[in-house]
Order: sequence, then structure tokens, then C-alpha cells
Amino acid sequence: MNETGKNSLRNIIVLTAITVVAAFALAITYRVTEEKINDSARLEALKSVKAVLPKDAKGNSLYANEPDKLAFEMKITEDQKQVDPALVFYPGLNDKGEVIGFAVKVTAKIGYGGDIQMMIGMTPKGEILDIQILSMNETPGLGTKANEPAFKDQFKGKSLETGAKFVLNKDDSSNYDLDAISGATISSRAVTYAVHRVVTFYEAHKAEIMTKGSGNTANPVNPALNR
Amino acid sequence: MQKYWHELTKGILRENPLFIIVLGTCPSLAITTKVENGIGMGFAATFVLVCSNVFISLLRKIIPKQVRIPAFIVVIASFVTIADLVLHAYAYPLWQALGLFIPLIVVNCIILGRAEAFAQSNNVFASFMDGVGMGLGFTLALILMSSIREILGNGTFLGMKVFGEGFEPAVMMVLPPGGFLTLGFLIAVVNVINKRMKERNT
Repeated sequence: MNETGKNSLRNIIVLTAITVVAAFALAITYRVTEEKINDSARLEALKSVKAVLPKDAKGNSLYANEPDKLAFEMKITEDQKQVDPALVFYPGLNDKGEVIGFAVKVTAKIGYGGDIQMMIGMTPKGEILDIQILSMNETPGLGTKANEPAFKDQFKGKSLETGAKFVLNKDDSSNYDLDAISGATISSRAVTYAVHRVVTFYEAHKAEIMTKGSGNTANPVNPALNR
Repeated sequence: MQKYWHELTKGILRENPLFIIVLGTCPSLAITTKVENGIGMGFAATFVLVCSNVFISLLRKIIPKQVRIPAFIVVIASFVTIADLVLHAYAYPLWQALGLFIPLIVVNCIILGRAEAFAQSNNVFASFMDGVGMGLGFTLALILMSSIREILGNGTFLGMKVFGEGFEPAVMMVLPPGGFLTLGFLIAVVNVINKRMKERNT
């Protein structure tokens, strides 16, 4: 073998050896951290679920179940651009197994910096309990104020049943019930539309959501017959 | 010993990677909106820099010249992925805040730059000191930059309010233009300090 051939062979062997060692190191790290990563994602989701589900006067959570075990997804079927059609419902059940509230994960598509993912808590009647922003890319100091009480708390206690409109002052100055964040109309609008979508969807599919949430289906299907 | 001490300290001011060599500016401009991010990014990059420097120095006699760049990239990318997984598992909020910038450490020119300019031609201990020094210099630069931007742009330091109610933060400072302004001024200041120090020494 001539000099060039020897060199190429050496290059190939060394580079292969390095990549094999690197692959092993990565595989081991992945194995070690895998479980912990799944746990931390789950705990993070549960934390926001907990924050928006009903609490007593002392701030203790009233649900007795593990909401993510009963979680289910539903899709908005009507054609619209404001929110991602997939909604995830996390039902909160008391110790008697009755639904006391839902945490709904929704992603608004029309934020100033793209998607805004949030968790909306509501009672079985469709009254907003609280809102938590899970992730957003809004302008720091302006759009990020969407996660501050001054804006979020306006939603608390509102429901379609009691006549809330979920309309921003910037959208209809004569007939509104929410104030937009000054300097961040687009962010306020994204959040408001998403909340509005969720409550109207809930209103339209209440019966179905309630049965799914309580863990039993109205028409239990025998899996053996359903092949 | 003196030589190793020199490798450690040069990164902080004389050869600061961000202000003097001007490497790694892209992640620096992007993440320095909060001091917390600056600290996290600084230490993550330092970890990768030290590990890659040590490994590349260890392998410097084995890696053939023709394939050194792909070999360096494999080593660096592996350490970045390890840092990414470990942060994801044990420091979830920080991992979320740093987001895309952890994978971007792979292409942070400081790390490839040090591998190419230093680690491949120096012994392991010197490369280790170089990695620590450059990492510290980068971390300090990020902390300085993010402190200025967070205090002026948001009125807070590490999330704590530093001004009274009457202070209206200059939001521009946490937006991209503020990043460029801060970096420009800091490069000027550090260069003036360096020049003065050099004049005094001669």
C-alpha cells in the first residue's frame, strides 16, 4: 500500500473509533437521564395543572386524583386559525369521584412571537378559575405581561353562562369586558381568543367532556366486540 | 507553573473570548436578556469547553491532520448533548430558559476556536487551564452584559427589583438593538482598559 492509501486508512480508523466511543458515551447518558427527563416534564405539566384547578381558601388543592392519568385530547373541528385544534383536558376529581374542574392545555397560534402555550382552569360550569402561561416568545417587558395578574386576573370568574363576552377593549371599544395590555395588543388578543375558543368549545361539548372527565364512558364498548 | 497561570488568566481580560477575540457573539446577543440565562449559558459553555479541550489535547497525537475538524466536531457535539441531557434531567427550568442555545453551543466558535488554536498543540494541563480561563472569561462577559441589559431594560437584577416604583425601564435594552449597543460599548471599554494596561507595562 502506498503512502496516501495508508494515510486514508488511518483517517478512517481514527474517525470511526472516535464516533463509536462518542456513541457509547451518549447512549449511557441517555439511559441514565431518560427516566428523570420524563419525570420532570410530567411534574412540570402537573404543577401548572395544580395551579389552575380549584383550591380552598387556604390555597390547598381540592382534587384527589392524578389529573394527568385521566387526561384526554379533543380536537376543535371547525376551521379556524387562532388556536391549535388539539386541546388537552386534565380533569380534577374530588374524593367522591365527582368532577370539580378541568385544566385545559391550549396553544394560541397568533402571538406576536409565535405560539403561546397556556393552561386554563375552569369549573364544570365553564367559569374561568385561573390561567397559566406555559411557554411564549413574546416581547420581554411588554407581551410577557400576559402572564402577570394585572392582565390574567381579569378572566377570573368569567363564564359564558353569566354573560361574559371575552372581548378586548381594542377589538370593540363600546362592548368589551377585558382590557388589553398597553403596548401588547397582539399578545393580549392571542390569549383572549384562546380562552374564548376553549370556553365555547366546552359549552358545545359539555356532556361529552364531563363523561370523559369522570373516567367512565357513556357507552362502554366491549373491546372484544369492537375489532 | 507561571505559564499555566498565564493560560488561566488570559481569558478573563487580555484575551477575553467575547470582547477581544469576538467569538460566540450570536448566543451572547440572544440570551443576555436575563442574568440567570447569562450564568446558565456561561457555565454550560465552560463545561463543554473544558471537556472538549482536555479530550482534544489527549487525542492530539492520534487525530490525523486531514480529519481533525470532523473529529473535533464529534467530540464537541457529544459533550453538548451530554450537557443538554443532564440539564434537562436535573435543572429543568434552566433548560427551558436556555432552550435552543444549548444545542447551539456546538457551533459556538469559541469551542472549536480553542480546539483549533490551542488544545491541538498544547499538553493536557495547559489545555485544561485554557478551557477554564476562556470559559470563565466568557461567563463573566455574559454576566456583565446580561446585568446591564436586565437592570436597564427590565429594572431588575436576578429577578429582584432594583429601582423604586417611578423607574420606567428602557425596554429596548432587552430587545435585539440593546444587545448590540451593550456589546459595542463593552468591547470599547475593555479595549481601552487593555490599552492602558499595556502602556503602563512598557
